[in-house]
Amino acid sequence: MNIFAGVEITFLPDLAVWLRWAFAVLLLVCFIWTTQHVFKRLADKRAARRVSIGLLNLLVFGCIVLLVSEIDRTRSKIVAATLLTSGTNIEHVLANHSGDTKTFVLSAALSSKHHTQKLRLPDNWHVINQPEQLVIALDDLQKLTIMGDGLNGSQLRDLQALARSKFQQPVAIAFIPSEIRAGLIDMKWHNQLAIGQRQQVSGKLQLSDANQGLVNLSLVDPAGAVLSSQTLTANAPFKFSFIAKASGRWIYNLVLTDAQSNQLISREPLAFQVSQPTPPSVAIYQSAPSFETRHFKNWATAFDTAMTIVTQISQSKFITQYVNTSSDPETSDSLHQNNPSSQADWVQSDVIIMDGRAWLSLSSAQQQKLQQHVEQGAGLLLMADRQLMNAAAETGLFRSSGSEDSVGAWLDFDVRADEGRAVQTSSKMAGQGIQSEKAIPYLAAQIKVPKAGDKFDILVWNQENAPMIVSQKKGLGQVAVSLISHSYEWQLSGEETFYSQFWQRLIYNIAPAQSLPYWLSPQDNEISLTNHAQKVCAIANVDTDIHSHYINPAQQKIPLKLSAELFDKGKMCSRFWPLQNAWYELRVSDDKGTDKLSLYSYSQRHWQAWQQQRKHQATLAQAKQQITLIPKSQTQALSKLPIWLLFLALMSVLWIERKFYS
Amino acid sequence: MSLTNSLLAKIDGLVLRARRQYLVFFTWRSIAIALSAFAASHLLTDSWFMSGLVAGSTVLMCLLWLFNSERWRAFDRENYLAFLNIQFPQLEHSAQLLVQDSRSSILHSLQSQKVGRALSALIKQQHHDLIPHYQTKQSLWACALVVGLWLILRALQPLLWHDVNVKPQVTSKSSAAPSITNIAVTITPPSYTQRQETVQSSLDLNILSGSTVTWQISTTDVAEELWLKFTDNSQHAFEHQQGKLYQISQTVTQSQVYSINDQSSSLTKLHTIAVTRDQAPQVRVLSPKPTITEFSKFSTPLFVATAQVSDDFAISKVDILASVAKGTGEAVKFRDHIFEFDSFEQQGQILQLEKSWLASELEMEPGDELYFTVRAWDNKQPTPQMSRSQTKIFRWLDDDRHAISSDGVLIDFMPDYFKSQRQIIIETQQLIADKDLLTEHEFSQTSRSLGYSQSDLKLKYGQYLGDEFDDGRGGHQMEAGPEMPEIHIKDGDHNDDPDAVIDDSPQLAAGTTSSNSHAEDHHDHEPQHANQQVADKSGYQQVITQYGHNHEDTDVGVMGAQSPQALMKQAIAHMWDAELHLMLSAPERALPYEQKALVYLEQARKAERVFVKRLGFEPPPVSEKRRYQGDLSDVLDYQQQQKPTPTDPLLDDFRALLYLLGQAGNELQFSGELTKGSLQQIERVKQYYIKQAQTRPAMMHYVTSLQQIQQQQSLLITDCRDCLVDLYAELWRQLPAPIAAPAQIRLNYSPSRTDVHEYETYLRTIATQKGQQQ
Repeated sequence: MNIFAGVEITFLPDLAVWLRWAFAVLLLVCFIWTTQHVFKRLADKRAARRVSIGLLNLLVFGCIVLLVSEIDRTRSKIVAATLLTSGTNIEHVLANHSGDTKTFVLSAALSSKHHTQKLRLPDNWHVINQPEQLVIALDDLQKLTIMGDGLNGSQLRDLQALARSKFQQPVAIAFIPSEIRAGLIDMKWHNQLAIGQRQQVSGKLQLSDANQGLVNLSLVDPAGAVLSSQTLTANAPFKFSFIAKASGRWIYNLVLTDAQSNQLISREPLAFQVSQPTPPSVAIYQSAPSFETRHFKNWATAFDTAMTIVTQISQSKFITQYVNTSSDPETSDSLHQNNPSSQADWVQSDVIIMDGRAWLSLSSAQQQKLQQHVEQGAGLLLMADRQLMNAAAETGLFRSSGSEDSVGAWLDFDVRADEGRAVQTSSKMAGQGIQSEKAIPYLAAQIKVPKAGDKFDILVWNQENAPMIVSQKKGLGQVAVSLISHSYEWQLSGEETFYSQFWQRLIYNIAPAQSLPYWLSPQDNEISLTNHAQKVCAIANVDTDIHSHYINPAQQKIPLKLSAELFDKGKMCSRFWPLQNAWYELRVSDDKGTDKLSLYSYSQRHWQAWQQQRKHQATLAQAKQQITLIPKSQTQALSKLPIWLLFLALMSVLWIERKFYS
Repeated sequence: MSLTNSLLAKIDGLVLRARRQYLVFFTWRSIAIALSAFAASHLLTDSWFMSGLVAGSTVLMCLLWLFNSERWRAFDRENYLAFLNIQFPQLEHSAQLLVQDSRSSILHSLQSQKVGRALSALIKQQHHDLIPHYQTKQSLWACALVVGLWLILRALQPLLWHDVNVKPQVTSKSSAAPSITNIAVTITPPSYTQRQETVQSSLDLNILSGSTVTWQISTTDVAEELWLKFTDNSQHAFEHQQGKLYQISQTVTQSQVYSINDQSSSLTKLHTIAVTRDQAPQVRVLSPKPTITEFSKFSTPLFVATAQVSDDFAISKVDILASVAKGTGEAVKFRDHIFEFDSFEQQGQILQLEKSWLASELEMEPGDELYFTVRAWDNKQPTPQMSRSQTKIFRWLDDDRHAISSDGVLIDFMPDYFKSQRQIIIETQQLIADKDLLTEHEFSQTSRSLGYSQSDLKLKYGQYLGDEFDDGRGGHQMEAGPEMPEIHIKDGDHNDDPDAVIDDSPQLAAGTTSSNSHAEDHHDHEPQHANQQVADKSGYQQVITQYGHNHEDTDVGVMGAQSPQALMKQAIAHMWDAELHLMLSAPERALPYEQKALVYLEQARKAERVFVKRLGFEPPPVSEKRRYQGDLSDVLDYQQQQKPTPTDPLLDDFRALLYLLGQAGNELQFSGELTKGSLQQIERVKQYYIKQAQTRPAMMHYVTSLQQIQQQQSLLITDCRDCLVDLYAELWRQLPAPIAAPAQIRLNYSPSRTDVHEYETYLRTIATQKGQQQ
């Protein structure tokens, strides 16, 4: 081993070259002069003594040279650090640490036990609150060994972004994961729901290797009543589905207990907000009064839906009813004209519901006008009837697969009579997993959808999995055709909830998007954690004056600065930093309206298994990324203390020799 | 002269000293009197302030009297010299000469000088008799005696009061306010119950309706006024008995929450009075068991009825209300009779009664029917409660008009007053439609009434089908159902509604009977459900068990699907379910079962060898004159401005309160302070629970919690954290099944994005091109 490899000595580094030479010459002269005097003084002594003293003198001068020089040693190595995250056995790491690696400990990794025991950490260990702080603290970093649960995606992104800007390259991650915790993982539920929407909770049970028995999982409502219970084995998926009773902020709980001992394993909160949505305006244009529309009106108007109902009562006579809205004074007189379908006050509604005969009663110009309105974003629900099917070929409304004439049809699917099929069936809603108990009559027809894809959306199926209601995108709007015209029978047979969900789903799928501004709900598999940044986004009209703030649990308003996203200027995002395990309310407003979003900030002790899983996944994914590490040469100044000591010792020996032995 | 003057000055000084001495003496006497006044006052009022005031006033009055008295004014030089003359003989009764003019005579002058010298000598000696002596010892003894007596009386005061020796249950809230030391609550049940009065120390009471409650309390200090304050803000003042003892009596008929208050604060926390109502009598007809008992045309009918009547206290009267029906259809005539029972036998609180009639006694002929119902009154005062049995029918047949089909199924047997299945459906639909117009009570009453009609119809069909439940005799356990207004969903309390309106008419009663003849008649399924019913406090399961069709299936399975009997059985099975939901006041849920029952009845009617009396409505034919006229002149265009159906504001109050309670429970820094609007909502919810508590006393628990919230004007009530948890759970239970609202999608991109629009157009173009190629 060459201990002098990479050692570089610079004589008087801070002086000008001529001065260095001058000092060198001076030293040389001094050395020659002193050596000469040594030999002269010891001329009568033994030669060995003279040589010894001469050598000591030489060593002294050598020390002087080294002391006034800069001595550096250059080594090539990977600059590394270690980060201990939550889930790390700190005592174990402390017992085995080598001492030459810089180690950072996230404060979350220190349990209350550590705080109470006043754990003494080595000098080169630093406690930090956020992972980015280690990048700030270090001059260079190429490799970071993360131990414990790891970091979540957001933390890793922030860390790497900072590393790129500071070190000009990302940090290579090595990961030593912690032991698997027992609990619920892969959780997914809706953070925001409209009243009546079904909450669907899914996830998986994760058990530690030591415990692979059966566990009971119960869903408990806010009043403490168990809604549903399942017995699970390790890695078994589970699913719960329920409807929250009322609008508001609710915290349900998932309680995990040992099936045998009934001992509590974990109790995890499930927070979500159920809001009373702003309904779209709805117009009904019908060829005759019907129970279907009457019950629909009763349901929709109870939620402040603005409705206009135009009902044909004779060949040229109409009743126009307004609920939660009023007639336009300018057009009210003209409503007494022959055909109110030409008037704009109901045609401009967000959702238009028509029966087949009503559609056929419109002139082609009126139909075109309505089609334009739909393509600009409105929703149209056509309640199919025999007249519509019979006249479909003539009107060019549906595309018939066998007919070339129908190529230019407005809708790309066909509705045709099917006398042979049952006319009474239960219905189930696609994507909702719910089915009506009561069978209701429907039109003996079938909807022929060429190929289900993005263009079509089958909203309701019957018991034989035949589509009952199909919607198609037209421009910015949606057109749906329904074979169901007796849905009110659900209402009358005690299935009010199913009835309301049925219509909610229809309206939700065909109505235009909510008016701006509005908050985007966080992803179903995301939760907001205390002391973690939470990204929140709103869709807003950038041309208006947008204000946003959030209200913390102390009911204080804290401004929130929204900035437009790079690729979507209408999407404006911000980050807020919840500090308490509580509800936070975010508000965004512009000239036209306001929207509120309630977010629950979970404590770090909630959902620990899930948090661990997400962190493990994110950190492992990061660790798998190949980052080429080029060892960096690192110059290190050598300590001059030994030279000083040697110099002092030599000087002492020389002084003693001269004082006592000359 | 100078001698005389200096002597006189000394005499004046002595007069002053004598006066001072007297003042001290008199003051001590005043103090003794004042102490007596103070002790008396304190013993009576128990008020330090008042007593101090009385004592101070007494001293002042005494002193005022003194300074205005002759005695005080008598302290002058002349009287003093007279006093000296008496005290000292050496003055030779001539001391007055010192102040008289001595120039009048020599003798006078000489005597004056002599007396002056003697007096000077006395003064020089400082003779102790120069000043009058007053005995203050007596006053001091009197003071000590008064104080001692006062202390003794004070110590003995609680013993002298009353023999209330129960321990205190409550403590005062405020140190300034008096606190309650003793409580005795005497409950005197109504006299007709013949129950003994009870005394308890707890302020939470569980009493019979109409009981007189006497609260007797003693306090640490005398309070000016004490009040018994109820939830409806009514308050009643305690009578001040003596010392610190207070008493009040109230006759209580409704469940209440109350507290005892003084003028400024509440001396107790909130307490409940849970009132249990007197149960109406229970009437059960033992025989005949079938609803209809028939006698052939040529028999000599002897109608025998036995009944069992019981009550929680006593039965005051029992009779039989009978109606004889003659004729058919519109010509039917009824004749009412009231009969007494022939014999009765008392077995504890149960009366066994019997009555028999000969048809001829009732002037009945073949073809006539006798409807009878047993009525019983209890001894409740002032108005006895009446209950009535299910109506039974004796029918004297006039011919063999009832055809019996080959498989034994007989369907044409419905008495005229039974409602048809179609009628029940129509009325159920009507009830659903009228839901918003009816009060909750009317709605549930009508629903249950329909339930009884459905029950009757089901029994009739079941009877002729040989249904296992009524053994072919029509006497089904369903008749043992609870009285109509007694279906309790939440708290399992089982109290009668004495206000239930009962129609005496047996004709109507057949459709809407409020039979009490049951309970014990529940057949042998009862034991196996007993444990469940005990565990299920809600009472819901009890109703399900009682009305639900949870027996093993009958022989429907072995019959052919199209067998009329099987169809009828299925119809009855659906009637069971319809009845269950009607009884639970859920006509919406009952309707599908009613409709299914009708469908099966129709199918049975169409089936071979089954004959069903025609049911339903047949519209009158429209004449040709009215049709095809083409006259539309009366048809006009018009507009309507409609208002949406208002939602139940109480539900909004429940939701709002739930939201607030959720905040109080979850959020760390929620102050819990309530706005005026929130307090109004709480008041409305409280009123709802007060109303509920009249029939379900357990609801008073929530009233107490809400009252506490109102009193503290905060959701963070200090002394009962669990109350909020219970209240939250209860409010959550009250919320109905959710109804979805119309909603709009929230796109996660801005609708103004041109690239999204372009992509949409691109997709449309591609699709069109593909379509053209095909």
